[in-house]
Amino acid sequence: MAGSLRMKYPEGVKLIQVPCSSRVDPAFVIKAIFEGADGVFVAGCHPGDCHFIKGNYFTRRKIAALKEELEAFGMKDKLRLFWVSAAEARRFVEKVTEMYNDIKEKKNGR
Amino acid sequence: MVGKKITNGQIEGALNKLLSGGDCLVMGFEKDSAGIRHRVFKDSLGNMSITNHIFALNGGLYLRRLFSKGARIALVLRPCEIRSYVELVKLSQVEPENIIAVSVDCFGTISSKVDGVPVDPDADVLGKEPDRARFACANCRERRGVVGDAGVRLDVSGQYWVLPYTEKGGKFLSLIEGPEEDVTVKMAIPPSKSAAAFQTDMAEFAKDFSNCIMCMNCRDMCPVCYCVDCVFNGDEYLPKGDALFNKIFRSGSTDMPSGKELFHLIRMYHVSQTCVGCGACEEACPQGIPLTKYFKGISERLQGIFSYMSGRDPNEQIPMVTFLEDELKNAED
Amino acid sequence: MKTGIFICHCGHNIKHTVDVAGLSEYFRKYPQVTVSEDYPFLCSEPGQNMITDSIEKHGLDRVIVASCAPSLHGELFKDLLRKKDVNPFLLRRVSIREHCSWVGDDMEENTEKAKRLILSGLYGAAHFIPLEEKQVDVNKSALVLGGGVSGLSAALFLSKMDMQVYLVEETPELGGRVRELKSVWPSRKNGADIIAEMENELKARDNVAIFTSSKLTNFEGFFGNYQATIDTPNGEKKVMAGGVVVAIGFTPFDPDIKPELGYGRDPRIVTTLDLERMADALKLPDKPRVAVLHCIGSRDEQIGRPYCSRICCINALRAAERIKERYPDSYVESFYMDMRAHPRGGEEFFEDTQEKGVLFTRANIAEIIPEPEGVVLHGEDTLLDEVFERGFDLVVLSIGMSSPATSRDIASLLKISLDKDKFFLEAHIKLRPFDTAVKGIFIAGSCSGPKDVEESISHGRASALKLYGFLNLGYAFVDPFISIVDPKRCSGCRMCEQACVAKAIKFDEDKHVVHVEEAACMGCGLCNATCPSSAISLKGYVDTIIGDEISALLEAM
Repeated sequence: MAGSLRMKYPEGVKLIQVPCSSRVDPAFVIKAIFEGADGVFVAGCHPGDCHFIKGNYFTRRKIAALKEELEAFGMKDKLRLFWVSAAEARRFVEKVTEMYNDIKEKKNGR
Repeated sequence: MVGKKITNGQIEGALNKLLSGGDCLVMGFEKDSAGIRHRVFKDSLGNMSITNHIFALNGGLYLRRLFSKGARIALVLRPCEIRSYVELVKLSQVEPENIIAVSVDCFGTISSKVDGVPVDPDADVLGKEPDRARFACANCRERRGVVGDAGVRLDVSGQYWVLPYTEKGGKFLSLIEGPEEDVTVKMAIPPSKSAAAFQTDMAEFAKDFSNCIMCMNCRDMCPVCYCVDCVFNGDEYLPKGDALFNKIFRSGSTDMPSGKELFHLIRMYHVSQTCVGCGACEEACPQGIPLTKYFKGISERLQGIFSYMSGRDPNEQIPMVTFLEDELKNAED
Repeated sequence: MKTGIFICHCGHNIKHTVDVAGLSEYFRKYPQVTVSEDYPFLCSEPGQNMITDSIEKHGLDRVIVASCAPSLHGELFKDLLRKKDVNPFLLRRVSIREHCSWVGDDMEENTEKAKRLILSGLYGAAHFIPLEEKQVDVNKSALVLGGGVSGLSAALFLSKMDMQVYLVEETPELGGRVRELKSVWPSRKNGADIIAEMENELKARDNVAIFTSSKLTNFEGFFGNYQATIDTPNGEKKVMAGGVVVAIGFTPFDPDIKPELGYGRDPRIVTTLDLERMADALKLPDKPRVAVLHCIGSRDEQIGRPYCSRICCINALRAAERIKERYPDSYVESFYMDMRAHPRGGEEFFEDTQEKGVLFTRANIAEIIPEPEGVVLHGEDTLLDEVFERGFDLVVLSIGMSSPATSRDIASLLKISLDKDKFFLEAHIKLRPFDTAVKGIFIAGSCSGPKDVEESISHGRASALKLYGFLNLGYAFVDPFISIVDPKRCSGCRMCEQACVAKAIKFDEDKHVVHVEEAACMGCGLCNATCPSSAISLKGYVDTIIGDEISALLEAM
């Protein structure tokens, strides 16, 4: 959606398509992090507003648990969860750009 | 709550009554001069021991995919073992119908890898020689025989009790002679104190796991790692081919075998809600990696956010298969 | 495996920020790539021919089309594979326009990103397997939600096309908001007459069932075979429908949300809709002073209505014209932000109204205060940069359209999406404006965003026509992206069964494994992510595909 409205976001942001945020296996996130991703964001529709009825409530549990695990390993800032529906292009761009810049800042700061 | 006071041999007597029916097995511990270990009895109890202060493995492991067709089993095991049994019941890996699970107060265990431990089943490891206790026991969440169908518990005066928790536990109690009494006396083992949230970092992880050879013994001996075909049997999650070499180009070098972080962190996530913190993984590790610290620590944190405790109650649902609409408000960033 | 990569320039759209020629050159060196080409427009006929010729010449069994978003031209490229007897699910679309060339400006970085995206397509496609599209019969019947002009025109069209129609209207009467309009611009016809004409025609047809004072309470099934439960005054009714047209209209903006307008506190402050209802009952002094305010409940970020309601400028002009006609000596002043008389003839109507003596002032109105001698407007003239206070005998608020009050309920029943303003969201704003993301469910009229009467009628017909096109085939293909269980790997832990929202997973007690009931599976993939051994997997999104796509985006190359 952001693309079709020709909004801009950093080139470093790359997307992987899944049918529903509930398809996101936490293992994918862990894999991405250890294959060099500086950050992973999981974008799902707002809770209560799921095309697959309740999928995102499960996403919320899974990602909350995964965040807790990453936090225990001091990697909390590598994962973010956004509620962004396909219609919210502007919000999507804001959220990913913010995350991208935060990570970039931290990397440069080191 | 009511229960029965027991004296030496009374539990064995009750179990023998079960065995004499011919269609019941007993899983517990057996002691001889060489040591003390798990054993399943069919005809007689032999040299059975109710407690075991030496930990080699979690007996729950052997219950997986046990759909006792007609045969009944009585489990007389440690609380951590009974808790893993309860989790396996939730995961349909055990048919609980014909199983009576009795948890016995645990006084801590010493690793079976330690040489020269005398065979004394009544040893109070945590009380008398806490330095020799396993990490898992020193940090145990539930040492009391309060899980399963019935519990064998010690009160402060040194008297043993059998307490029923379910209908099946009540039937077990009825096999023991003596009157039912109200339990008013305090028990010897108090509830465990909750531990501080586990915290580490990748540098510590790398150091602790540097000797990991990815033999996956930890997985194979884990009572709640129940998959018939683990995702790590294939190589879809492990860096391979050009991905592996690019990792080297990116980071300068890579350790071998590669992909330890993935294996352990993903397994940690997979067992996070069902891990009972028994430390069987560490016991099985040929490289002496302090696995319990990580798996127990992570699982307690991850169960904590859902106020869940593995094996506590068979009616509690595993958090990943359910949800509340109004929860985790801070999950979003 | 023989893979062909086809990279589209999309004219300048992709080419101007991505080195397409460099990319096709680059991928040629990959051992698993048989063909790698770039072309100005792959969707054009020569572009299509290039793909089909390559499939035939090289015996390709994986086709990667790097172009626009996969939601566009989806069937077009699939058909190319079908034509050459290659399973259409061996096609991988890579969006290097919406996900790359349009979102970044830097040629070098965009090219690098596109390279990664195509590579992930290449890696993912390597794990593709031919999938079978199941053919199912469809019901030649339609459910139309909403009995306003849009719903009525959709129902009429479908009925004439020999489709059984079930029309559900929440209120006791058909006709919606148009029924209240005394003169519908530009034809000046009475709204009630327009409705009566449509209603009579519809009621005379024997393949239409109309449920008034009724509500949709449950909705299940899949395209071609939806089961709807309708709560009617005569009890619950269950109907089978092949598809749905949602035309539940809008809710007029409630000026109470902006208390500074003083609406409801004084009878001299009315909305355009009130004015329609009052009609001849309106009593004003001989030489009345009347103010007409535009953009009430529109273009207002503060109250969450940033959009233009499109109808209210014309409504404001109509209100001004009516006052002027009835009271030729009246003083009518219209306060606008921008004049948007966009429909055909609107601009002329605006000029006519000016000629009739209506004054137009570009202004922001801050507050409306009713005083005994008149209603006082406090505002700022934005052309003259002056603050003013003016008294009037009547203030008319030209109210906009808010999303229908029940849009959220209907959206969750039908599993369709809403946009940020709670109107229904179309599948694509230009290319699929009537479709929703759910096959066989279409949206019509102002429930998908403000529309005037003329637009709503044509929108209703257009949605009906699209639905008819789908249903008239008599059959449909079921999406093959559903979950499947590998019984050799299933541990029978039943976690997926407990989590499955669609209740599509069933446990086999004897074999101690689960299986998926295909018709019920929604294809969300929750089970796949819940299963620790991925023994249950979502076709098209299996672990190896997503896992290797991740590798391709990050490490591999």
